[in-house]
Amino acid sequence: MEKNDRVSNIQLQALIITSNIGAGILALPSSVANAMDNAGWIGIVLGGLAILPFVYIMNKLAEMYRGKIFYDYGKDIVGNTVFKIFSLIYLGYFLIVIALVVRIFGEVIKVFLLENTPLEVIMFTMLLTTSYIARSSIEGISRMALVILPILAITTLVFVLVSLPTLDFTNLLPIARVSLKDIYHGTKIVFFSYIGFEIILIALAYIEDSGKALKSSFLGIFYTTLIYLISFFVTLSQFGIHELKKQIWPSLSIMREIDLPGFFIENIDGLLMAAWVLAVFTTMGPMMYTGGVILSSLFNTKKHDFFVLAIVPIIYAIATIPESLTEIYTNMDLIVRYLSIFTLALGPMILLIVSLLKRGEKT
Amino acid sequence: MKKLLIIPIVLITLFFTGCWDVVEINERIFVTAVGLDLNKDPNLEGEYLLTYVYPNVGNIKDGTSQKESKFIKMTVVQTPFQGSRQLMTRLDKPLYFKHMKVIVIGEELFKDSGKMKEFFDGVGRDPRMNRKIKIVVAEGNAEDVLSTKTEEELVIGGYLNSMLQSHKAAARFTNQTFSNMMKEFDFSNASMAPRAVPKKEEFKLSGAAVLKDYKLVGWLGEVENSLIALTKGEVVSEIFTTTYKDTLVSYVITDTFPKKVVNVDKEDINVDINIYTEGYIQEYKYQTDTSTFDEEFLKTVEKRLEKNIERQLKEIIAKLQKDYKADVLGIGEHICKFEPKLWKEVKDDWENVFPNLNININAKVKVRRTGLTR
Repeated sequence: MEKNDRVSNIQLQALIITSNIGAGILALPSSVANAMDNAGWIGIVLGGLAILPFVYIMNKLAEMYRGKIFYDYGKDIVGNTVFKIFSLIYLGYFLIVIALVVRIFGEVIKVFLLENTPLEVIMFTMLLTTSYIARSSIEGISRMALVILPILAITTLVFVLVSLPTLDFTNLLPIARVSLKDIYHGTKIVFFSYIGFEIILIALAYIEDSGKALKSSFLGIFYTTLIYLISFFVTLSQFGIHELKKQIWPSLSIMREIDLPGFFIENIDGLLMAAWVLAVFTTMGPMMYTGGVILSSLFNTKKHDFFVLAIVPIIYAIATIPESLTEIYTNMDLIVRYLSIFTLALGPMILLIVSLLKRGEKT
Repeated sequence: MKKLLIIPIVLITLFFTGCWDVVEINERIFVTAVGLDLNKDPNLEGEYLLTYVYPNVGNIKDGTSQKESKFIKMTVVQTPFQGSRQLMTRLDKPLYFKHMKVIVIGEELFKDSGKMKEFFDGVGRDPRMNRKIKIVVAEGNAEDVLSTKTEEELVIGGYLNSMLQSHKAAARFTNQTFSNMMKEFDFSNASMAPRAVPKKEEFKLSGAAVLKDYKLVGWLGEVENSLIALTKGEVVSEIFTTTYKDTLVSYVITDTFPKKVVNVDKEDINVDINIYTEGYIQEYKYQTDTSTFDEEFLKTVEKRLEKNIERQLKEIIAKLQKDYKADVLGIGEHICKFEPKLWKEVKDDWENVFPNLNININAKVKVRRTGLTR
């Protein structure tokens, strides 16, 4: 970690958006529709809002320990031994999330693009590619996010434009019929689609303009919510509620609904797939980087890059555990959810409370 | 030293790349249409008779060669999706379904709702098929429709496809895509698909198959189909006739604006279908004293056309409600979207609610133009 690398605020925003949007966006519209029917957009908005307090806590912590990353100042707060347990949980969480993402990535690529290529090869090449960016500094990762974000934005726009002729907006109706219980379930589902923003635990230490860090983080979450909303509305008006519920990856299957004039230029799923590969790359990159950083903080080394390559085989091994797609989306997803409650919510919260108490004692 | 490293890197990137999945475009067979029938030949094992149609790509390149412009392959299999595997024993290249346009389903097969559900589920699952595939129901065998010789277009799949896409006669049959059909089945368990009638040398698309619960329950004729299209606003150009002083007057509809209004009084659910159409007079009678520039003439013609449309539609709707019990008008979908409260009450019993709906038709016809002469 060089002392001179900095993350600008716009890079922070891009980093949050690209880290959030990854494998989750594929299944999000249908899982939220299964929970809340046509009113799924309420869940998406509420999920985005529910994330904000935790973003605030992370910002608060970064403000109190300016210039240090979470995995370092954690030691100062709860002590070295206790925080080692914390770090191990975080490490486990990141390993499993990357494994989940890369496995879903492999499954999707296998279904839509490379039928005969072995899943293992798809996953391993993706992991190796990601490890390249994960070995660089946080500055490099943020720059990459800023470069890739416009590509994602343009693709989203193209995706909306080409599907416009076949969209039936009456499918959105009835737009807000939902019970309170469903809202709770839906919001819970969406909440976990925002996994990835925890990169700010590190990125905030290198922020250029710390005064506007909170605003940038909030904006990052806001744009993520916006993209989720677009994907929900477009898939819903394309498929209709019943069909949407049946789809596993509506955001990609939608390409099968597009009917452009001409005999051979339709089926432009390649375009969407390409952008999605980038989105997955930018989700996995920061996470793998974080994994390396946690290890280097555990072993008190100056550099994190050699740890990155070390965790690649572990991630690969975890990713090959689930036997089927069904197992991925039930068991593995569940483990990630439970762990993320700790890593996103409880962990930072405990640290904040302890550090506030400590400050109280001192004065 | 570092510069020397570039050489092995370049060599590696050049020679160590590869693709498991590469199938060159000339190594594929692009199936344009598939026909499904029940197998009637007891000598062959399997329940389905599949007909695949694909273009002779070499012929397209050469232009005017005398060879066959399309190939038709048939096979008998246990499940529809076995077909392409089965054919591998007889073809040199793999079949490729990404550009498939039309699925023609034979009448007998479509009477088996279980089989159709299985088939549609398979289409929905397959990542390689477009969901905008057009569905056509063949009166008789799908095989006969697909094996018809056509002059104009090179491939029958393309020919059928362009027929379905043309809007000029759109009201005689209504285009149906797989994705839309599934949507209609999901809402009201009933749908429609265009009917293909095979003749000796040709085939025609006319009317519609009425489908209920993934099953063929009946047919609608050309005129009936155009009237139903009227309630859905799908008419682009269609002629309706009436008489004025014993002379036939033809009226061409250029625009339709249907509107459904649902209201509940006491027990009954009333559905008003308001159809507003605009158009022009195509023909009347040439005589020195007749004129279409006459307030009274236009008013009477409009009135009579309205009456005609209302009367005919009422008959069709009675048929749909009583005989077929199939909500192909999309009333269920409308209630679900615009009257969600009401839908919650009736959706489980929609089968029985639909036949007892009070459906009123209010047609409004406007003659905007009369052509070039008075």
